[in-house]
Amino acid sequence: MLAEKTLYKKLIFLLMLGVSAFVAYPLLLMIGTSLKSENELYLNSVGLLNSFHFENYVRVWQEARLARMFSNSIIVTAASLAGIVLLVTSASFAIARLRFKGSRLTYLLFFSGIFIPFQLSMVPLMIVIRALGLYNNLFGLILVYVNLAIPFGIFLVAGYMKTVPMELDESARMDGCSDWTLYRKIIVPLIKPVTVTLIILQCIQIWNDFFLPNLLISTTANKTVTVGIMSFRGTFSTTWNLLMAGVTITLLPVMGFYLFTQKYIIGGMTAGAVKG
Amino acid sequence: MASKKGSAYWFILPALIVYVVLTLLPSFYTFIYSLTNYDGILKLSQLRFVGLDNYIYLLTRDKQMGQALLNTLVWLVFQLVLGNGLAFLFALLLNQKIRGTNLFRAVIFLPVVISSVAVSFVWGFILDPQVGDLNKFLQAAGLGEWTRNWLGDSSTALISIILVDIWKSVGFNMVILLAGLQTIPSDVYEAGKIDGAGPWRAFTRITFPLMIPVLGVVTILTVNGTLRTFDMVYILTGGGPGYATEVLMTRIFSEAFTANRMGYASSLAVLLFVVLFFLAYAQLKMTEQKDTN
Repeated sequence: MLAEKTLYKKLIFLLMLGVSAFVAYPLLLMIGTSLKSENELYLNSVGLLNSFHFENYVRVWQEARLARMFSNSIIVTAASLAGIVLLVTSASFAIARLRFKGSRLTYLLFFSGIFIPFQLSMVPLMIVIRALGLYNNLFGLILVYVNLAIPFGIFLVAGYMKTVPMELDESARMDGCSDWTLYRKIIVPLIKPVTVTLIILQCIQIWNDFFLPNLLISTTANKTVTVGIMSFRGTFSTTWNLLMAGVTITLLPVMGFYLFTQKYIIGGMTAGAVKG
Repeated sequence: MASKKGSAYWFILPALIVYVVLTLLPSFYTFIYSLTNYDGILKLSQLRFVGLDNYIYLLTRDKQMGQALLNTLVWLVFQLVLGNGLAFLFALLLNQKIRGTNLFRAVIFLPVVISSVAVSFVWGFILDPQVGDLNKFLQAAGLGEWTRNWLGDSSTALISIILVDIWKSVGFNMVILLAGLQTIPSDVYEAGKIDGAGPWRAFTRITFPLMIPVLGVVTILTVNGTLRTFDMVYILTGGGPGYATEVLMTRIFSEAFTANRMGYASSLAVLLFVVLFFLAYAQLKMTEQKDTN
Protein backbone atom coordinates (compact mmCIF):
# COMPACT_ATOMS: atom_id res chain seq x y z
CA MET A 1 0.00 0.00 0.00
CA LEU A 2 2.73 2.42 1.04
CA ALA A 3 5.01 1.35 -1.80
CA GLU A 4 2.16 1.83 -4.24
CA LYS A 5 1.66 5.33 -2.90
CA THR A 6 5.31 6.36 -3.28
CA LEU A 7 5.36 4.96 -6.83
CA TYR A 8 2.26 6.97 -7.63
CA LYS A 9 3.89 10.11 -6.25
CA LYS A 10 7.06 9.46 -8.23
CA LEU A 11 5.00 9.13 -11.42
CA ILE A 12 3.28 12.44 -10.80
CA PHE A 13 6.63 14.05 -10.07
CA LEU A 14 8.10 12.78 -13.34
CA LEU A 15 5.04 13.84 -15.31
CA MET A 16 5.12 17.37 -13.92
CA LEU A 17 8.87 17.53 -14.50
CA GLY A 18 8.20 16.71 -18.15
CA VAL A 19 5.45 19.35 -18.38
CA SER A 20 7.70 21.98 -16.79
CA ALA A 21 10.51 21.09 -19.17
CA PHE A 22 8.14 21.48 -22.13
CA VAL A 23 6.92 24.86 -20.86
CA ALA A 24 10.46 26.09 -20.21
CA TYR A 25 11.91 24.76 -23.48
CA PRO A 26 11.07 27.73 -25.75
CA LEU A 27 12.65 30.12 -23.26
CA LEU A 28 15.79 28.01 -22.90
CA LEU A 29 15.97 27.78 -26.68
CA MET A 30 15.67 31.55 -26.88
CA ILE A 31 18.58 32.09 -24.48
CA GLY A 32 20.64 29.34 -26.11
CA THR A 33 20.13 30.75 -29.61
CA SER A 34 20.94 34.28 -28.43
CA LEU A 35 24.44 33.09 -27.46
CA LYS A 36 25.28 31.44 -30.78
CA SER A 37 27.37 32.76 -33.62
CA GLU A 38 25.73 33.00 -37.03
CA ASN A 39 27.54 29.88 -38.27
CA GLU A 40 26.48 27.75 -35.33
CA LEU A 41 22.91 28.81 -35.96
CA TYR A 42 22.72 26.90 -39.21
CA LEU A 43 24.84 23.97 -38.08
CA ASN A 44 22.89 22.74 -35.09
CA SER A 45 19.92 24.37 -33.48
CA VAL A 46 19.21 21.53 -31.09
CA GLY A 47 22.81 20.95 -30.00
CA LEU A 48 24.48 22.36 -26.93
CA LEU A 49 26.63 25.46 -26.98
CA ASN A 50 30.40 25.27 -27.41
CA SER A 51 31.05 28.92 -26.74
CA PHE A 52 29.04 31.88 -25.54
CA HIS A 53 28.78 34.80 -27.91
CA PHE A 54 27.83 37.58 -25.52
CA GLU A 55 28.84 40.08 -28.17
CA ASN A 56 25.41 39.47 -29.76
CA TYR A 57 23.88 41.34 -26.84
CA VAL A 58 26.21 44.30 -27.21
CA ARG A 59 25.49 44.51 -30.93
CA VAL A 60 21.73 44.35 -30.47
CA TRP A 61 21.77 46.89 -27.65
CA GLN A 62 23.55 49.40 -29.90
CA GLU A 63 21.95 48.71 -33.26
CA ALA A 64 18.34 48.45 -32.11
CA ARG A 65 18.51 51.61 -29.99
CA LEU A 66 17.30 49.60 -27.01
CA ALA A 67 18.41 52.16 -24.43
CA ARG A 68 15.86 54.64 -25.76
CA MET A 69 13.06 52.06 -25.81
CA PHE A 70 13.87 50.94 -22.28
CA SER A 71 13.79 54.46 -20.94
CA ASN A 72 10.43 55.01 -22.68
CA SER A 73 9.02 51.82 -21.17
CA ILE A 74 10.27 52.72 -17.71
CA ILE A 75 8.86 56.25 -17.92
CA VAL A 76 5.48 55.05 -19.17
CA THR A 77 5.17 52.24 -16.61
CA ALA A 78 6.36 54.29 -13.62
CA ALA A 79 4.28 57.37 -14.44
CA SER A 80 1.17 55.29 -15.15
CA LEU A 81 1.54 53.45 -11.85
CA ALA A 82 1.96 56.72 -9.95
CA GLY A 83 -1.12 58.15 -11.65
CA ILE A 84 -3.15 55.01 -11.06
CA VAL A 85 -2.30 54.82 -7.36
CA LEU A 86 -3.02 58.51 -6.82
CA LEU A 87 -6.31 58.67 -8.72
CA VAL A 88 -7.63 55.30 -7.65
CA THR A 89 -6.88 55.64 -3.93
CA SER A 90 -8.20 59.20 -3.70
CA ALA A 91 -11.44 58.40 -5.54
CA SER A 92 -11.84 55.22 -3.48
CA PHE A 93 -11.28 57.27 -0.31
CA ALA A 94 -14.17 59.58 -1.22
CA ILE A 95 -16.44 56.67 -2.11
CA ALA A 96 -15.62 54.44 0.85
CA ARG A 97 -14.98 56.94 3.67
CA LEU A 98 -16.74 60.24 2.93
CA ARG A 99 -20.39 61.09 2.65
CA PHE A 100 -21.40 63.21 -0.30
CA LYS A 101 -24.33 63.72 -2.58
CA GLY A 102 -24.32 61.28 -5.49
CA SER A 103 -21.80 58.96 -3.87
CA ARG A 104 -23.70 55.81 -4.78
CA LEU A 105 -24.26 56.97 -8.36
CA THR A 106 -20.57 57.82 -8.77
CA TYR A 107 -19.57 54.38 -7.58
CA LEU A 108 -21.97 52.73 -10.04
CA LEU A 109 -20.63 54.89 -12.84
CA PHE A 110 -17.08 53.70 -12.14
CA PHE A 111 -18.19 50.14 -11.53
CA SER A 112 -19.96 49.92 -14.89
CA GLY A 113 -16.58 50.56 -16.50
CA ILE A 114 -15.54 47.01 -15.59
CA PHE A 115 -18.06 45.83 -18.18
CA ILE A 116 -16.82 48.12 -20.95
CA PRO A 117 -14.13 46.45 -23.05
CA PHE A 118 -11.48 48.83 -24.33
CA GLN A 119 -12.47 48.03 -27.90
CA LEU A 120 -15.83 49.73 -27.41
CA SER A 121 -14.22 53.13 -26.81
CA MET A 122 -11.26 52.59 -29.12
CA VAL A 123 -12.26 54.49 -32.27
CA PRO A 124 -13.59 57.68 -30.64
CA LEU A 125 -10.74 57.55 -28.11
CA MET A 126 -8.26 57.89 -30.96
CA ILE A 127 -10.12 61.00 -32.07
CA VAL A 128 -10.02 62.47 -28.55
CA ILE A 129 -6.30 61.70 -28.19
CA ARG A 130 -5.54 63.35 -31.54
CA ALA A 131 -7.70 66.34 -30.68
CA LEU A 132 -5.79 66.80 -27.42
CA GLY A 133 -2.52 66.67 -29.36
CA LEU A 134 -1.48 63.54 -27.48
CA TYR A 135 -1.00 61.20 -30.44
CA ASN A 136 2.56 59.82 -30.58
CA ASN A 137 3.14 61.27 -27.13
CA LEU A 138 4.19 59.31 -24.04
CA PHE A 139 1.89 61.37 -21.84
CA GLY A 140 -1.09 60.36 -24.00
CA LEU A 141 -0.19 56.72 -23.55
CA ILE A 142 0.18 57.19 -19.77
CA LEU A 143 -3.20 58.93 -19.59
CA VAL A 144 -4.91 56.03 -21.38
CA TYR A 145 -3.30 53.45 -19.05
CA VAL A 146 -4.44 55.41 -15.99
CA ASN A 147 -7.92 55.67 -17.45
CA LEU A 148 -8.15 51.95 -18.16
CA ALA A 149 -7.10 51.01 -14.61
CA ILE A 150 -9.69 53.23 -12.89
CA PRO A 151 -12.84 51.03 -12.83
CA PHE A 152 -11.32 47.78 -11.62
CA GLY A 153 -8.86 49.68 -9.40
CA ILE A 154 -11.67 51.50 -7.58
CA PHE A 155 -13.65 48.28 -7.27
CA LEU A 156 -10.63 46.59 -5.66
CA VAL A 157 -9.41 49.45 -3.46
CA ALA A 158 -12.77 50.88 -2.33
CA GLY A 159 -13.85 47.36 -1.41
CA TYR A 160 -10.77 46.95 0.75
CA MET A 161 -11.14 50.41 2.32
CA LYS A 162 -14.64 49.59 3.48
CA THR A 163 -13.20 46.83 5.70
CA VAL A 164 -11.22 49.41 7.73
CA PRO A 165 -13.33 50.33 10.82
CA MET A 166 -15.09 53.71 10.57
CA GLU A 167 -14.33 54.50 14.25
CA LEU A 168 -10.80 55.25 13.13
CA ASP A 169 -12.00 58.21 11.04
CA GLU A 170 -14.23 59.48 13.84
CA SER A 171 -11.46 59.52 16.41
CA ALA A 172 -9.04 61.07 13.92
CA ARG A 173 -11.55 63.85 13.27
CA MET A 174 -11.96 64.36 17.03
CA ASP A 175 -8.24 65.05 17.08
CA GLY A 176 -8.76 67.67 14.41
CA CYS A 177 -7.61 65.72 11.34
CA SER A 178 -8.71 67.14 7.98
CA ASP A 179 -9.90 64.79 5.21
CA TRP A 180 -6.59 65.28 3.44
CA THR A 181 -4.55 64.31 6.54
CA LEU A 182 -6.84 61.36 7.22
CA TYR A 183 -6.32 60.12 3.66
CA ARG A 184 -2.58 60.63 3.60
CA LYS A 185 -1.54 59.69 7.12
CA ILE A 186 -4.04 57.01 8.10
CA ILE A 187 -5.94 55.38 5.23
CA VAL A 188 -3.20 55.15 2.59
CA PRO A 189 -0.73 53.41 4.95
CA LEU A 190 -3.45 51.01 6.09
CA ILE A 191 -4.40 49.82 2.61
CA LYS A 192 -0.85 48.96 1.55
CA PRO A 193 -1.58 45.26 0.78
CA VAL A 194 -4.27 46.06 -1.79
CA THR A 195 -2.17 48.87 -3.27
CA VAL A 196 0.68 46.42 -3.77
CA THR A 197 -1.67 43.98 -5.52
CA LEU A 198 -2.91 46.75 -7.81
CA ILE A 199 0.65 47.87 -8.61
CA ILE A 200 1.86 44.35 -9.45
CA LEU A 201 -1.14 43.64 -11.67
CA GLN A 202 -0.85 46.91 -13.56
CA CYS A 203 2.94 46.94 -13.71
CA ILE A 204 3.13 43.68 -15.65
CA GLN A 205 0.17 44.54 -17.85
CA ILE A 206 1.53 47.95 -18.80
CA TRP A 207 5.14 46.81 -19.28
CA ASN A 208 4.01 43.96 -21.54
CA ASP A 209 1.26 45.79 -23.41
CA PHE A 210 1.56 45.80 -27.17
CA PHE A 211 -1.84 47.02 -28.34
CA LEU A 212 -1.81 50.61 -27.06
CA PRO A 213 1.72 51.66 -27.95
CA ASN A 214 1.15 50.06 -31.35
CA LEU A 215 -1.97 52.21 -31.73
CA LEU A 216 -0.88 55.48 -30.14
CA ILE A 217 2.85 55.75 -30.90
CA SER A 218 4.18 56.25 -34.41
CA THR A 219 7.85 57.27 -34.29
CA THR A 220 10.83 55.09 -33.28
CA ALA A 221 12.00 57.65 -30.73
CA ASN A 222 8.79 57.22 -28.72
CA LYS A 223 8.46 53.45 -28.98
CA THR A 224 8.31 51.28 -25.89
CA VAL A 225 10.16 47.97 -25.63
CA THR A 226 7.26 45.74 -26.69
CA VAL A 227 6.57 47.62 -29.93
CA GLY A 228 10.27 48.15 -30.38
CA ILE A 229 10.81 44.40 -30.65
CA MET A 230 8.66 44.49 -33.78
CA SER A 231 11.27 46.62 -35.52
CA PHE A 232 13.93 43.94 -34.82
CA ARG A 233 12.48 42.02 -37.73
CA GLY A 234 13.35 44.90 -40.00
CA THR A 235 16.79 45.47 -38.45
CA PHE A 236 18.01 41.88 -38.13
CA SER A 237 15.80 40.13 -40.72
CA THR A 238 16.11 36.40 -40.00
CA THR A 239 19.40 36.57 -38.10
CA TRP A 240 17.79 34.56 -35.36
CA ASN A 241 20.66 34.73 -32.88
CA LEU A 242 20.45 38.53 -32.83
CA LEU A 243 16.64 38.50 -32.78
CA MET A 244 16.65 36.15 -29.80
CA ALA A 245 19.30 38.22 -28.02
CA GLY A 246 17.03 41.25 -28.45
CA VAL A 247 13.97 39.43 -27.17
CA THR A 248 15.95 38.07 -24.20
CA ILE A 249 17.09 41.56 -23.21
CA THR A 250 13.52 42.83 -23.26
CA LEU A 251 12.40 39.95 -21.06
CA LEU A 252 15.15 40.31 -18.44
CA PRO A 253 13.40 42.93 -16.25
CA VAL A 254 10.16 40.94 -16.02
CA MET A 255 11.93 37.61 -15.53
CA GLY A 256 14.19 39.05 -12.82
CA PHE A 257 11.23 40.63 -11.06
CA TYR A 258 9.32 37.36 -11.32
CA LEU A 259 12.22 35.30 -9.97
CA PHE A 260 12.30 37.22 -6.70
CA THR A 261 8.65 38.10 -6.10
CA GLN A 262 7.02 35.13 -7.78
CA LYS A 263 4.55 34.51 -4.96
CA TYR A 264 3.29 38.10 -4.95
CA ILE A 265 3.07 38.25 -8.73
CA ILE A 266 1.01 35.08 -9.00
CA GLY A 267 -1.20 36.32 -6.15
CA GLY A 268 -1.52 39.81 -7.64
CA MET A 269 -2.29 38.70 -11.18
CA THR A 270 -4.98 36.25 -10.17
CA ALA A 271 -6.49 38.60 -7.54
CA GLY A 272 -9.18 39.75 -9.93
CA ALA A 273 -10.44 36.22 -10.48
CA VAL A 274 -10.39 34.84 -6.95
CA LYS A 275 -11.65 37.48 -4.59
CA GLY A 276 -10.83 37.48 -0.88
CA MET B 1 -16.74 66.91 13.71
CA ALA B 2 -18.00 65.96 10.29
CA SER B 3 -15.87 66.14 7.17
CA LYS B 4 -15.66 69.51 5.52
CA LYS B 5 -18.43 69.91 2.99
CA GLY B 6 -17.35 69.53 -0.61
CA SER B 7 -13.93 68.08 -0.01
CA ALA B 8 -15.13 64.69 -1.29
CA TYR B 9 -15.47 66.17 -4.78
CA TRP B 10 -11.80 67.13 -4.84
CA PHE B 11 -10.88 63.54 -4.14
CA ILE B 12 -13.12 62.12 -6.79
CA LEU B 13 -12.86 64.68 -9.61
CA PRO B 14 -9.46 63.75 -11.11
CA ALA B 15 -10.45 60.12 -11.63
CA LEU B 16 -13.94 61.06 -12.75
CA ILE B 17 -12.81 63.55 -15.40
CA VAL B 18 -10.25 61.16 -16.90
CA TYR B 19 -12.77 58.32 -16.91
CA VAL B 20 -15.64 60.32 -18.44
CA VAL B 21 -13.50 61.89 -21.17
CA LEU B 22 -11.55 58.76 -22.12
CA THR B 23 -14.01 55.92 -21.51
CA LEU B 24 -17.64 56.91 -21.04
CA LEU B 25 -18.00 59.53 -23.78
CA PRO B 26 -16.00 57.56 -26.38
CA SER B 27 -18.06 54.44 -25.64
CA PHE B 28 -21.24 56.41 -26.11
CA TYR B 29 -19.94 57.80 -29.40
CA THR B 30 -19.17 54.29 -30.66
CA PHE B 31 -22.88 53.48 -30.50
CA ILE B 32 -23.60 56.59 -32.58
CA TYR B 33 -20.81 55.92 -35.09
CA SER B 34 -22.08 52.39 -35.54
CA LEU B 35 -25.19 53.88 -37.13
CA THR B 36 -23.21 56.01 -39.59
CA ASN B 37 -20.90 55.78 -42.58
CA TYR B 38 -18.03 57.41 -40.68
CA ASP B 39 -14.65 56.78 -42.33
CA GLY B 40 -12.26 58.79 -40.16
CA ILE B 41 -11.81 61.54 -42.75
CA LEU B 42 -15.34 62.85 -43.25
CA LYS B 43 -16.22 66.15 -41.67
CA LEU B 44 -19.04 65.95 -39.16
CA SER B 45 -21.34 67.77 -41.59
CA GLN B 46 -20.85 65.03 -44.19
CA LEU B 47 -21.65 62.29 -41.72
CA ARG B 48 -24.69 60.32 -42.81
CA PHE B 49 -26.89 58.11 -40.66
CA VAL B 50 -27.34 54.71 -42.24
CA GLY B 51 -29.62 53.22 -39.61
CA LEU B 52 -28.94 49.57 -38.93
CA ASP B 53 -27.19 48.98 -42.29
CA ASN B 54 -23.84 48.23 -40.64
CA TYR B 55 -25.40 45.62 -38.39
CA ILE B 56 -27.36 44.02 -41.21
CA TYR B 57 -24.25 43.82 -43.39
CA LEU B 58 -22.28 42.44 -40.47
CA LEU B 59 -24.73 39.68 -39.65
CA THR B 60 -25.73 38.64 -43.15
CA ARG B 61 -23.14 39.44 -45.82
CA ASP B 62 -19.68 39.96 -44.41
CA LYS B 63 -17.84 36.74 -45.36
CA GLN B 64 -14.54 37.76 -43.73
CA MET B 65 -16.41 38.42 -40.53
CA GLY B 66 -18.05 35.02 -40.82
CA GLN B 67 -14.62 33.40 -41.16
CA ALA B 68 -13.32 35.44 -38.21
CA LEU B 69 -16.26 34.38 -36.05
CA LEU B 70 -15.77 30.75 -37.01
CA ASN B 71 -12.03 30.94 -36.18
CA THR B 72 -12.80 32.58 -32.85
CA LEU B 73 -15.24 29.79 -32.11
CA VAL B 74 -12.67 27.08 -32.96
CA TRP B 75 -10.19 28.93 -30.75
CA LEU B 76 -12.74 28.98 -27.93
CA VAL B 77 -13.45 25.25 -28.16
CA PHE B 78 -9.73 24.41 -28.05
CA GLN B 79 -9.08 26.74 -25.14
CA LEU B 80 -12.06 25.49 -23.16
CA VAL B 81 -11.58 21.77 -23.75
CA LEU B 82 -7.82 21.34 -24.17
CA GLY B 83 -6.53 24.48 -22.40
CA ASN B 84 -8.80 24.36 -19.37
CA GLY B 85 -8.64 20.55 -19.29
CA LEU B 86 -4.85 20.67 -19.02
CA ALA B 87 -5.03 23.48 -16.47
CA PHE B 88 -7.38 21.42 -14.30
CA LEU B 89 -5.23 18.30 -14.66
CA PHE B 90 -2.05 20.18 -13.68
CA ALA B 91 -3.85 21.80 -10.75
CA LEU B 92 -5.05 18.40 -9.49
CA LEU B 93 -1.55 16.92 -9.80
CA LEU B 94 0.14 19.87 -8.11
CA ASN B 95 -2.40 19.71 -5.29
CA GLN B 96 -0.83 16.38 -4.22
CA LYS B 97 1.90 16.28 -1.64
CA ILE B 98 4.86 15.77 -3.98
CA ARG B 99 8.31 17.31 -4.19
CA GLY B 100 8.89 20.42 -6.27
CA THR B 101 5.27 21.63 -6.51
CA ASN B 102 6.29 25.26 -5.93
CA LEU B 103 8.94 25.10 -8.64
CA PHE B 104 6.59 23.41 -11.14
CA ARG B 105 3.90 25.97 -10.42
CA ALA B 106 6.36 28.84 -10.92
CA VAL B 107 7.67 27.43 -14.22
CA ILE B 108 4.22 26.72 -15.67
CA PHE B 109 3.08 30.24 -14.71
CA LEU B 110 6.17 31.88 -16.25
CA PRO B 111 4.76 32.35 -19.81
CA VAL B 112 1.88 34.35 -18.30
CA VAL B 113 4.21 37.21 -17.32
CA ILE B 114 5.97 37.32 -20.69
CA SER B 115 4.77 39.81 -23.30
CA SER B 116 2.84 38.37 -26.20
CA VAL B 117 5.30 39.97 -28.62
CA ALA B 118 8.19 38.02 -27.11
CA VAL B 119 6.09 34.85 -27.14
CA SER B 120 5.30 35.40 -30.82
CA PHE B 121 8.98 35.84 -31.69
CA VAL B 122 10.15 32.75 -29.82
CA TRP B 123 7.40 30.52 -31.21
CA GLY B 124 7.77 32.07 -34.64
CA PHE B 125 11.36 30.80 -34.49
CA ILE B 126 10.34 27.29 -33.37
CA LEU B 127 7.71 27.07 -36.12
CA ASP B 128 9.97 28.52 -38.82
CA PRO B 129 10.00 26.14 -41.81
CA GLN B 130 13.77 26.42 -42.48
CA VAL B 131 15.54 26.75 -39.15
CA GLY B 132 12.73 26.00 -36.69
CA ASP B 133 13.15 23.31 -34.05
CA LEU B 134 9.79 21.66 -34.71
CA ASN B 135 10.64 20.68 -38.28
CA LYS B 136 14.18 19.72 -37.23
CA PHE B 137 12.78 17.52 -34.51
CA LEU B 138 10.37 15.82 -36.92
CA GLN B 139 13.23 15.22 -39.37
CA ALA B 140 15.35 13.68 -36.63
CA ALA B 141 12.46 11.48 -35.52
CA GLY B 142 12.09 10.11 -39.06
CA LEU B 143 8.81 11.96 -39.64
CA GLY B 144 10.21 14.10 -42.44
CA GLU B 145 6.95 14.06 -44.41
CA TRP B 146 5.18 15.82 -41.52
CA THR B 147 7.36 18.91 -41.78
CA ARG B 148 5.70 21.96 -43.21
CA ASN B 149 5.44 25.74 -43.07
CA TRP B 150 3.26 25.70 -39.97
CA LEU B 151 2.18 29.31 -40.02
CA GLY B 152 2.14 29.68 -43.80
CA ASP B 153 -0.09 26.69 -44.48
CA SER B 154 -3.77 27.55 -44.12
CA SER B 155 -4.59 24.12 -42.73
CA THR B 156 -2.17 24.40 -39.76
CA ALA B 157 -1.80 28.16 -39.15
CA LEU B 158 -4.82 28.59 -36.87
CA ILE B 159 -4.22 25.50 -34.77
CA SER B 160 -0.53 26.42 -34.37
CA ILE B 161 -1.36 29.85 -32.91
CA ILE B 162 -4.07 28.37 -30.69
CA LEU B 163 -1.58 25.89 -29.20
CA VAL B 164 0.89 28.72 -28.56
CA ASP B 165 -1.92 30.61 -26.83
CA ILE B 166 -2.63 27.58 -24.64
CA TRP B 167 1.08 27.34 -23.78
CA LYS B 168 0.96 30.97 -22.69
CA SER B 169 -2.27 30.88 -20.68
CA VAL B 170 -2.44 27.43 -19.09
CA GLY B 171 -0.49 28.56 -16.01
CA PHE B 172 -2.95 31.33 -15.24
CA ASN B 173 -5.98 29.06 -15.19
CA MET B 174 -4.02 26.40 -13.33
CA VAL B 175 -3.22 28.80 -10.47
CA ILE B 176 -6.85 29.87 -10.10
CA LEU B 177 -8.01 26.25 -10.07
CA LEU B 178 -5.26 25.31 -7.62
CA ALA B 179 -6.40 28.08 -5.26
CA GLY B 180 -9.91 26.65 -5.54
CA LEU B 181 -8.74 23.13 -4.76
CA GLN B 182 -6.94 24.35 -1.66
CA THR B 183 -10.15 25.76 -0.20
CA ILE B 184 -11.71 22.27 -0.08
CA PRO B 185 -11.28 21.20 3.55
CA SER B 186 -9.38 17.91 4.00
CA ASP B 187 -11.96 16.49 6.44
CA VAL B 188 -14.42 16.22 3.55
CA TYR B 189 -12.03 13.75 1.92
CA GLU B 190 -11.45 11.92 5.19
CA ALA B 191 -15.19 11.50 5.66
CA GLY B 192 -15.34 10.17 2.10
CA LYS B 193 -12.55 7.72 2.83
CA ILE B 194 -14.40 6.37 5.86
CA ASP B 195 -17.42 5.81 3.62
CA GLY B 196 -15.14 3.76 1.34
CA ALA B 197 -14.76 6.21 -1.55
CA GLY B 198 -11.76 5.48 -3.81
CA PRO B 199 -9.79 8.21 -5.61
CA TRP B 200 -12.10 8.25 -8.67
CA ARG B 201 -15.25 8.44 -6.57
CA ALA B 202 -13.67 11.10 -4.39
CA PHE B 203 -13.00 13.12 -7.56
CA THR B 204 -16.46 12.74 -9.12
CA ARG B 205 -18.43 13.06 -5.89
CA ILE B 206 -16.38 15.57 -3.88
CA THR B 207 -13.75 17.49 -5.87
CA PHE B 208 -15.66 18.11 -9.09
CA PRO B 209 -18.97 19.29 -7.58
CA LEU B 210 -17.14 21.60 -5.17
CA MET B 211 -15.02 23.00 -8.00
CA ILE B 212 -17.94 23.91 -10.30
CA PRO B 213 -18.05 27.59 -9.22
CA VAL B 214 -14.29 28.01 -9.77
CA LEU B 215 -14.49 26.17 -13.10
CA GLY B 216 -17.26 28.60 -14.02
CA VAL B 217 -15.03 31.57 -13.27
CA VAL B 218 -12.18 30.06 -15.28
CA THR B 219 -14.53 29.36 -18.20
CA ILE B 220 -15.73 32.96 -18.29
CA LEU B 221 -12.19 34.34 -18.01
CA THR B 222 -11.18 32.09 -20.89
CA VAL B 223 -14.07 33.17 -23.11
CA ASN B 224 -13.32 36.78 -22.25
CA GLY B 225 -9.62 36.44 -23.05
CA THR B 226 -10.23 34.50 -26.25
CA LEU B 227 -12.72 37.02 -27.64
CA ARG B 228 -10.11 39.75 -27.11
CA THR B 229 -7.24 37.80 -28.71
CA PHE B 230 -5.25 40.08 -30.95
CA ASP B 231 -1.49 40.38 -30.42
CA MET B 232 -0.27 36.94 -31.45
CA VAL B 233 -2.38 36.76 -34.59
CA TYR B 234 -1.41 40.29 -35.58
CA ILE B 235 2.30 39.55 -35.12
CA LEU B 236 2.58 35.92 -36.30
CA THR B 237 0.31 35.83 -39.35
CA GLY B 238 -1.52 39.15 -39.64
CA GLY B 239 -4.72 37.12 -40.05
CA GLY B 240 -3.38 35.13 -43.02
CA PRO B 241 -2.71 33.09 -45.04
CA GLY B 242 -5.83 34.38 -46.75
CA TYR B 243 -8.22 34.80 -43.85
CA ALA B 244 -7.24 31.51 -42.19
CA THR B 245 -6.31 33.03 -38.83
CA GLU B 246 -8.50 36.12 -38.84
CA VAL B 247 -10.28 36.62 -35.49
CA LEU B 248 -12.82 39.09 -34.13
CA MET B 249 -10.31 41.63 -32.83
CA THR B 250 -8.04 41.60 -35.87
CA ARG B 251 -11.14 42.28 -38.00
CA ILE B 252 -12.20 45.24 -35.86
CA PHE B 253 -8.66 46.59 -35.97
CA SER B 254 -8.25 46.38 -39.73
CA GLU B 255 -11.74 47.72 -40.43
CA ALA B 256 -11.06 50.70 -38.16
CA PHE B 257 -7.42 51.54 -38.85
CA THR B 258 -6.48 49.90 -42.15
CA ALA B 259 -9.67 50.16 -44.18
CA ASN B 260 -10.79 53.28 -42.25
CA ARG B 261 -14.39 52.04 -42.14
CA MET B 262 -14.81 53.35 -38.62
CA GLY B 263 -18.59 53.31 -38.66
CA TYR B 264 -18.60 49.67 -39.57
CA ALA B 265 -15.80 48.86 -37.09
CA SER B 266 -17.93 50.53 -34.42
CA SER B 267 -20.79 48.14 -35.08
CA LEU B 268 -18.36 45.22 -34.61
CA ALA B 269 -17.18 46.74 -31.34
CA VAL B 270 -20.77 47.09 -30.14
CA LEU B 271 -21.40 43.43 -30.96
CA LEU B 272 -18.29 42.41 -28.99
CA PHE B 273 -19.41 44.61 -26.10
CA VAL B 274 -22.84 42.99 -25.93
CA VAL B 275 -21.30 39.51 -25.69
CA LEU B 276 -18.67 40.54 -23.13
CA PHE B 277 -21.26 42.42 -21.09
CA PHE B 278 -23.34 39.30 -20.57
CA LEU B 279 -20.23 37.30 -19.72
CA ALA B 280 -19.04 39.83 -17.15
CA TYR B 281 -22.53 39.90 -15.65
CA ALA B 282 -22.55 36.11 -15.37
CA GLN B 283 -19.12 36.18 -13.74
CA LEU B 284 -20.27 38.74 -11.19
CA LYS B 285 -23.27 36.59 -10.32
CA MET B 286 -21.00 33.58 -9.92
CA THR B 287 -18.48 35.25 -7.63
CA GLU B 288 -21.38 36.60 -5.54
CA GLN B 289 -22.74 33.09 -5.26
CA LYS B 290 -19.31 31.81 -4.24
CA ASP B 291 -19.09 34.47 -1.53
CA THR B 292 -22.46 33.65 -0.01
CA ASN B 293 -21.71 29.93 0.08
